[in-house]
Amino acid sequence: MRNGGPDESGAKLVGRMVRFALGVVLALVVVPMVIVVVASVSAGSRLTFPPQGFSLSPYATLLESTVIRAALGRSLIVGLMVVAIGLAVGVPATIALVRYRPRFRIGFGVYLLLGVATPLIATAFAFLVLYTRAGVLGSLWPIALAITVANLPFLMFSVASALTNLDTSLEEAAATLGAESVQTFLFVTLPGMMPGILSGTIMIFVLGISEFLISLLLTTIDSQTLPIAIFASLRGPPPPEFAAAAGIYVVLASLVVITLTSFKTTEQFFYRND
Amino acid sequence: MLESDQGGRSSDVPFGWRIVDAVVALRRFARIDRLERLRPYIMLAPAVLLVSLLAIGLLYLGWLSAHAFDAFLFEQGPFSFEQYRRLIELPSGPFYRQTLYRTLWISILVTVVSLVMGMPVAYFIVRTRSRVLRVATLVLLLVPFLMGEIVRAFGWFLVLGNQGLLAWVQSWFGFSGGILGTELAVIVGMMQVSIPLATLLILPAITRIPPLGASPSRVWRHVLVPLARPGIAGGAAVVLLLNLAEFDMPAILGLGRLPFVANVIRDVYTLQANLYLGSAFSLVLLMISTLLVLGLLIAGGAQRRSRRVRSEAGG
Amino acid sequence: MVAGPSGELGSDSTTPIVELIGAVKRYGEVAAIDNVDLAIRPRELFTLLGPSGSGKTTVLRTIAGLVSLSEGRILIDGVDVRRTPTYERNIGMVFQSLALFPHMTVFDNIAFPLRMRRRGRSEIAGRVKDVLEIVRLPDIAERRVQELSGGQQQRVALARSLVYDPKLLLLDEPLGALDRQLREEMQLEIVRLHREIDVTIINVTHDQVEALILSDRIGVMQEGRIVQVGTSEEIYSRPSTRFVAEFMGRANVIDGTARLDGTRSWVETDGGVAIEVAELDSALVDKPCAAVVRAEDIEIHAVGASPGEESTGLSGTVMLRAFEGETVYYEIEVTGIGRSLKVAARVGAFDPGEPVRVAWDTNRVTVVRMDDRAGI
Repeated sequence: MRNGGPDESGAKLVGRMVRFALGVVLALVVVPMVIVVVASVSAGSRLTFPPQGFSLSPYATLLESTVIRAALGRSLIVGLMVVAIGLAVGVPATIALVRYRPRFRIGFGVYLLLGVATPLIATAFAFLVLYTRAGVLGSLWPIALAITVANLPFLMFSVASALTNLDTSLEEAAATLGAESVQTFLFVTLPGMMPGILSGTIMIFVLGISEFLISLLLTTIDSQTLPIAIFASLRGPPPPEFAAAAGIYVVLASLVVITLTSFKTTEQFFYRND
Repeated sequence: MLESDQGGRSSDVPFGWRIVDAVVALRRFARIDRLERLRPYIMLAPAVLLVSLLAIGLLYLGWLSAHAFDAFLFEQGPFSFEQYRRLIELPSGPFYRQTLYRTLWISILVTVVSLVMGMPVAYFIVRTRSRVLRVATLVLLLVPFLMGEIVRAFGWFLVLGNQGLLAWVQSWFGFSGGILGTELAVIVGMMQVSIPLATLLILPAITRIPPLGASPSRVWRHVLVPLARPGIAGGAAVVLLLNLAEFDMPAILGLGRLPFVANVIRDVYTLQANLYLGSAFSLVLLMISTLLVLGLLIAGGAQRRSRRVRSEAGG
Repeated sequence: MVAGPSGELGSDSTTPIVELIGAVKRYGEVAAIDNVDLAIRPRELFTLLGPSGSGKTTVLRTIAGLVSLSEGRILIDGVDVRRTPTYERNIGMVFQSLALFPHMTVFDNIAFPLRMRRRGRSEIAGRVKDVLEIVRLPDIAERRVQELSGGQQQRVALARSLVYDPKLLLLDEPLGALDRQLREEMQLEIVRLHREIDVTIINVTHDQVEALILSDRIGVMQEGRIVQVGTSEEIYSRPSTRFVAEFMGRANVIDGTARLDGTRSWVETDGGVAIEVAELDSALVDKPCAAVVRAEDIEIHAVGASPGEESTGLSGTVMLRAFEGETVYYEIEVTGIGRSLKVAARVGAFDPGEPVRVAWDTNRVTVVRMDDRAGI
């Protein structure tokens, strides 16, 4: 290839463009996150900028607020339900799709993506009419079911990626060494899939506790989850304890992402080096 | 063989094995092996059933949308296209149509901008030699996705709000006038998750492209964009789907003045308690989004052009 | 004891430990193994040799029960194992990828088969220690598998498949990924283990040198069939088909038609050259066949220095010369035989372009039938 002047200046231009885009994107991503965290440790009864001082009082207020505590509790319950349903349903399905290659494999795969392929508002409304008809609005488990449907593929992708990387000869070796299928699964397949299951679990748990639109339509005033409570607070300048609630989400999401990326597999999941 | 070995078991076998043995024996007793052929389908069944809840919900949506609704008696009327007519005709038709157009153009704009901004970021992640920078960038891109829609809106509200960061910066320079309530605010808010998502989704496509000897600008123009096309189309589809269902940014950063389809559907439900009209509008959005996504995937799958470009660039 | 039909089976030493009878495995239309009959004797080190895709690994996997046959039977110790799942066959197998469990220590890897057999803690500890000594790797029991070198991993994989004293050990090209030095070291290790332990080994490889070094007997596979079974010596010196001759190394395979006239027998090429042969299977007479002459059996003479009368002499031209250490490799074009001859000679006195005469002992020429299938 040529190594002329125009290309070299072109290279510099591309480099500069990449850096510029990176800067803009990171600013867009980071600034609101930082502001939430700053606001969550601000003094004063209303959130304004610049803060009138720093204190942990928003978190103290949050702990005192029965409304927020109850909402937080419901969100955690929903998150745990999403994990339980997701694991029970998603892990066997992923193993079946990846390992047993059933007929209509692609068809099954596409069908299980339905929750992602449908705009979230349509998903939410579909569950709304279904649950209205069934008369189960107001409970938490129907919300968890709906959220699981919408987020199941994230768990399945994570598990599938771990399973695909797992050498099938490990399972065959276990068989030659005297392990029948239950023991092969327990002692070889499951430990091999564990990183994928773990990161998938963490991911759908966080997605479950931060889910908004489905909860908005499916919760009643008595079954509000935390994101809905935060939404309700945003009619004017929000009270600081809600900044603390939002701050919890930012910190939690950051911790989770850092944990996930410290698993080698997750980095490989996004950045395969083969 | 194993059976003969079992006679010689020692007594210091750990207790945990008894449980495993019990499970194995139970399996043998139930003769689950007979179901060998059915096993994948049995394992898929719970997931299929779960997703079928949504499928049934969507079908029910279609059923409701094709019926009249008496708002006074609160009763289902006969089979009719009344709901769809109301989405088009006066008095409210223009409002619904305007909402749909706004949702579409802002979503598509945000998707396009996200891809344009996401490509260089993905390129940076793939090509940077520093593992720390790569991981740090990945972390920062993933966080907004996991912290949830409402927290993102909350953050932007604090940035763009009346007494927020932007107003403070502006007052330093002696002018005022926030962007809250404008399309710009909504678009900026949507970008926070759209760009990271676009970046992460096109990352595998960009990774697959081998580094060539050519100068970066040539690589960029002739190889990177055409080769990554199927991946980009897939990423675009997912980002677009996310954007089409946007709720928080129009509600909070748009101050409710610039509603998206999701906002209107929710209002129809909470204010009019009309599941029928909401169903119709949901279905319209679902159909439009499905068409757009299929179009994108087909455009991405059309390899002929990209192959020609590749052979030109390969030289 | 009542004398019954079992008396006819003869003594134990001749009962095969593994026997395949008419074994066929089809994947869709393609037969991965096609009507294979094979009997492995107790205590022998048998190698299945063939190019990739010849079905040798499939044979091994059917013996292990990882693949079920489409047709035919497999007997292990005289018992049909159709209904015996892999985990009850009590077979040791070392995989190409070794398949060591990455989440376990060396100890746990080797203890795995013993735990599956529910042996007690003290017995497991003792046996693992013993087998690690047998493969000459004491003191690494607590290490993680990834921390080991390639050679150590090989030994651990061997130890894991030997610790429960299987009668049969299957090796699926475990040495393929090693560099040459380590591979030769492990080959000798396997020979040593085979001598020390009471075990029958079936080894699969595409490396004919490895097969010749290791094996008591070799079975050569081609396109799903076993084309020849014999000792290393037999396979090397008396290949039964054209494919075996070509696969076993530098052999000149000269196509032609077998002729017999009184006491004289020869192979006549399409170009009219007669290759004299000492022996000829009468079934081959007037049939297409090939004369096989090994590269190291050919002598080169300068034109003029006439060879003895009992040798075949052909004139040719040196096309290529390559120095290889102990020998010098030549390619010599001889008109009328359709291809240039490969010669591994001890002397390097001939230059490319030089006319020479080539000769060999007719006793060293083997006549082989053409392969059943075209392709090679």
